[in-house]
Amino acid sequence: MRDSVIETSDLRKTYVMGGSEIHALDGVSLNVERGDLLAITGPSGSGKSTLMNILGCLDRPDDGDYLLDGEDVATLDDNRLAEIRNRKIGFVFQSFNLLPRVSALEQVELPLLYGGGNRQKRPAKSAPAAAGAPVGAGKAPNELSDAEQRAGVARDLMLQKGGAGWRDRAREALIAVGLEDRMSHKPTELSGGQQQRVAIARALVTDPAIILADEPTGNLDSRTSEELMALLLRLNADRGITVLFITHEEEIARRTNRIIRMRDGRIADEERGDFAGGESSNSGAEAGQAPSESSIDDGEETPSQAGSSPATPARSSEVAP
Amino acid sequence: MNFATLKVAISALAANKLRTSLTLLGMIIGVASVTALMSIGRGVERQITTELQAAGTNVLFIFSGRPGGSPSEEPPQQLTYEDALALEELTWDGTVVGVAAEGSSRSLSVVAQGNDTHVSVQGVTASYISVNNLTLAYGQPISEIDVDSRASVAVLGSKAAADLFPDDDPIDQTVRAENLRLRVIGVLEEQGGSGGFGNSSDNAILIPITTAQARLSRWVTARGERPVNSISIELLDEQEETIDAGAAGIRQILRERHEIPEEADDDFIIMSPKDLIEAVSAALGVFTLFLGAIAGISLLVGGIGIMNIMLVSVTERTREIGIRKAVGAKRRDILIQFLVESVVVSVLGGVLGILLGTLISFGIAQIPFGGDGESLQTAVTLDIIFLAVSVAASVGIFFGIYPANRAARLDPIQALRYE
Repeated sequence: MRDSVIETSDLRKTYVMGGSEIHALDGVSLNVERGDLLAITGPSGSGKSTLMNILGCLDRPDDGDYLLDGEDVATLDDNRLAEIRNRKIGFVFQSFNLLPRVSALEQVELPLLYGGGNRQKRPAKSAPAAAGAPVGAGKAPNELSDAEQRAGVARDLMLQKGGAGWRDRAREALIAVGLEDRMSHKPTELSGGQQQRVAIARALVTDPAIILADEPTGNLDSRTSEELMALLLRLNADRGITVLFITHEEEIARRTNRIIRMRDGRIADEERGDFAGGESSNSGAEAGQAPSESSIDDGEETPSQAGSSPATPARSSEVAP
Repeated sequence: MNFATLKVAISALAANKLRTSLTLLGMIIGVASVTALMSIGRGVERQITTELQAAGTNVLFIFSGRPGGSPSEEPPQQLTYEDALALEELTWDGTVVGVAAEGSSRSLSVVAQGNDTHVSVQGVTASYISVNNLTLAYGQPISEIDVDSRASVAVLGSKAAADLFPDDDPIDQTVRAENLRLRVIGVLEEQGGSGGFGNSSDNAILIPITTAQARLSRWVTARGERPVNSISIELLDEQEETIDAGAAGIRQILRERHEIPEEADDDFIIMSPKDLIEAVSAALGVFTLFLGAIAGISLLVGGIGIMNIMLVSVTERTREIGIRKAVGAKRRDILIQFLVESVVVSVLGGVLGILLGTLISFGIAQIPFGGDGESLQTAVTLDIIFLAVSVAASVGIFFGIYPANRAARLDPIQALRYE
């Protein structure tokens, strides 16, 4: 069974610039399964960012269909699009796009503010919990039994429904990106890598289905880029969040299980397979079927671990006391 | 709107303190001028009302005229001295305490001891002084005997006395007006102000009405009666019932005397000070609002200042708006954010403006005004404060809505690309 989270057919977008038409997207059909890890590459002007913006509901296509999580996005009005951006999508930008003069914690709270903060975690995630899988999503690590943890999750849900716990959720997201000691820092007091981590925490806090990252490491040095990619890969592996990112670097692209190469507004080439682990091209789908929800203090986990084992084994090792 | 929105607005305003305070200043000046000017208007209103009440609220004034003013009919009959005498009958049951009339008055040049002044020489009945709440500073009032005998005596108003006899005691001195030689028997206390009905008695000379009729104005009505300008009736008290009973009695007698048919309107107007105070208050209220409206122009300028700053702010924060939209802010969220910001500025400016305006109004009340050292009273009342705050808030909303709407309509992609 394949569970598509993104399904587009023949997306088109044309800009008029200086009197001449530019076909930024010229018929893009793309299918992304839940839990996929996907890199988009291509020369500048190939339509990567336009595609990303449309996928992120920041922009609308001129033509073509786009089903996001089963919902036909093309027909939605501005308010519904804003809701979708808020709840289903986490956007990470090359230029971080943090608010000036606002502390990291408040940056991360921002999406909760606009979502009303009372949305419960995606119902899809309660299914594994009911099936007996330990769900640690957004919870501090502890030595509780599975049953107790489930009770804890239920309690969390109730809290969040009541609008309480924004701050807790923002704090958890920041802990998840390893910024527990930078919560009250403002963007000017953070390094580039830290700023991008705040942006990722902000994308993460509403527990979205997809994280879209438009050259997330474009403004960072190689070492910081490495750490940041590790973080994104880990979110994909541990939380089952579908991650799409644009990159210019082949090396980074090859750490995914799918690479889309764009040229002149079209998908020119596509590669599948776990390039890092050397597994079959279907591994991505399997990972999607088993969205493991490890506890969030896996900050110590090394990037290689995250990259190499996207599937279930990670969680049992994490949860066992 | 919630607390978080307010916090965002305040921190955005705090981020640019100089600009915010200049915008605030515009609002403060606007609201302060509204508050100060309206407090002056309200003070004048109170002052005049108080003076009117000093004339006595248990007095009814009767003028010739048609209530409601129906000009098509023949002109109303004059009130006469005989009318006034007939109204004396009302004193029998005790509701009416006194009846006074004033008539045959003329504005004349008066001379005494080489000093001369222009005064209103008024013919009055003996009860005139007491009915109209006037008091004698010294000397004697005009008596019934003076009236009956057409005596050539005069009671001087305080200003007339001061003008004619700057150094001497005026009692028993002689003043000359036209062909009249009058002996001064009394001087009135200063009445002050506008004097309520008609002229102030400060610059008047009161003489017996009969003397005036004989020497100043011999004109008589068609029925051979001697006309008067007004009749004043002093009632027992100022109770509603007393006033109504008095007015009813007056109407009955005057309608009978004026031979007014059953279905026709009165040809005289009975006015109680209460009516007058109400009428004057209404007129002065309009005056106060007018002052406020003039000051409102500066409030308008302040509002345009807010709009200007908000437009700059929207442009400056285009990227921030893009970020907010990207993480799920709806149009409404952005609209409210900027609207709250402009309302915060305007309401804060409004509150500070009221404080400043109250201070100014208090200062004005300390400045001596006119020659007599009296100062203009001012009053900052609750309704002024309420008006100022609500106008300030409306200004914030009105002038904030355009910039806020502009922010809300920004396209997220373009906003994010904005440098």
